[in-house]
Amino acid sequence: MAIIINDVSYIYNESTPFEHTALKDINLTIEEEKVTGIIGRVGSGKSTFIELLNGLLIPSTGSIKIAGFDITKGMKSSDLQKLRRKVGLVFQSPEDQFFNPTVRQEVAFALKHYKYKNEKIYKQVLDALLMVGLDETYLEKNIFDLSAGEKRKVAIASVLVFNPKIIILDEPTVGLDYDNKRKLMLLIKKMKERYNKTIIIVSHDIDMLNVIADDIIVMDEAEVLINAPKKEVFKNKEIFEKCGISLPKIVQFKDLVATKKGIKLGEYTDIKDLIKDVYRNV
Amino acid sequence: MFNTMMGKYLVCDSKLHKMNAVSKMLCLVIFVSMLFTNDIILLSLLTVLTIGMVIFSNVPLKTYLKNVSSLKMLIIFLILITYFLGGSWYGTIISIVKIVLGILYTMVITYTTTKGEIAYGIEKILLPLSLIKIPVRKISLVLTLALRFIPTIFEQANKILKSQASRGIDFRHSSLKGKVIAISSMIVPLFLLTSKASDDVALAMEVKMYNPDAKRTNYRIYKWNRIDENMILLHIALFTFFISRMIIL
Repeated sequence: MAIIINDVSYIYNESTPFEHTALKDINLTIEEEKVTGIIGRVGSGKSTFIELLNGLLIPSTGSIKIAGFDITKGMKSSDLQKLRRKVGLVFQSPEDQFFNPTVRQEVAFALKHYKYKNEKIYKQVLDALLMVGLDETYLEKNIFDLSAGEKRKVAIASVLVFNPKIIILDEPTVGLDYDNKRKLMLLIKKMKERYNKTIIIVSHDIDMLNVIADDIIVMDEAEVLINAPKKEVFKNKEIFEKCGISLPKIVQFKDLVATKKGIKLGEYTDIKDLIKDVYRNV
Repeated sequence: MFNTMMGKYLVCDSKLHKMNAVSKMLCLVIFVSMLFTNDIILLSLLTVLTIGMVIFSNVPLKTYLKNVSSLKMLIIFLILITYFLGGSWYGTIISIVKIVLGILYTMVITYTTTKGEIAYGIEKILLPLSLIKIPVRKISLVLTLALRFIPTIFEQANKILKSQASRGIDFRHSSLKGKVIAISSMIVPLFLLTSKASDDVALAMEVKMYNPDAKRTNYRIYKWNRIDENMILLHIALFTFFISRMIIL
């Protein structure tokens, strides 16, 4: 089932001098079992938007239909709890979201709360850690002693462990080196292709989104400027210029070669494919 | 979630905003010392004074009410304690009034005074202590940094609460047991994160060559206005009344 956002606005500290409109009349549909990237300037409303999808914030106006629930003012707290089992959210800074001393306790937190049996908890915790590339030696490690990449993996594992249908990742590649970034992208691909998850990624890393996203949403000043398949989105250069975001390097390179050599090129996510096509055409 | 509006300065045009920070700090000290009273007449006068300051601050009333409403759990806790342990209802009500007045008065000060002004005010008030070699500037710096961390702590706490909520324990909607679990599991990471943040601030100060022993001047000259004199006189009058009531009673 697709995620449908109807006329959603969100205002922080409403009716106070600190009032701030983070989202203004958002209308869009996010397709299921796809990877959707959200990009935009700092303060464009991206993080607020994903917190609304998880029910951490309730829209000031409008409604969100997600995973069979309708997030709107007056939503029952029991429904919110059920919703959060289906929509997992990984926050931007992993170290800000940890509150347990060991990796095992952190990953098992949700399962304990959902009253899983101990044997099942152990198995699922281990499965989730293996899925993100960590093994059982990490179980008793102090969470605050891990590296940035490992913390990110634990944060993802602590969401994967309760097997949500929709996974939201806020800036997943921040602070990761090339190797960890590549592994994370493979994991996202696996979650989509093998486990049919709907994945929403907020990121400033347009090159990463070009590789793994199917659709892209561009946000600016609390509004959605475009929501379309990435090929269409990258054709709208003026939107990217307006938001001060650069196009993926591969798209820029392709456009440059196509203009200078007067040849027609397709859409690429891998630089090797682009170079092959350039040689073929020139 | 926690209210992140607490402890922040609010740009408004009011007489209280224009008051000298030294007089504000003096008034605050006098006010807090008067909160030790249990005298109903003096507490009524303090209530009138606080309401007057809230009105004169030109900060919308809703902002104060929103902050005071976040005290409801503490108030409920006090009421339950009195009910189950059989304490004095008069004492409980007086305590609640004093807590609310203290919070409201502090909010008026923080909403109308920038952190720099607060540091200046504290420093000037403590200045006589420098005669007996007490490091007044360092103390005022420590106090300013402590104030700077109030919103940071609330923001960190909010992040942890959101993380817990997204994985099942929602502070806002959970039972008392859930609330206790959420709060207790937050203490250690909050302490770690805050100490890390304070370490970062210390390093940033060192990088910027901050020398705590250097002699400092002020960029702005803080004027002493009629409102400062009036407010201090009003507070002193109330304090005199407080002392005389103590002697009489």
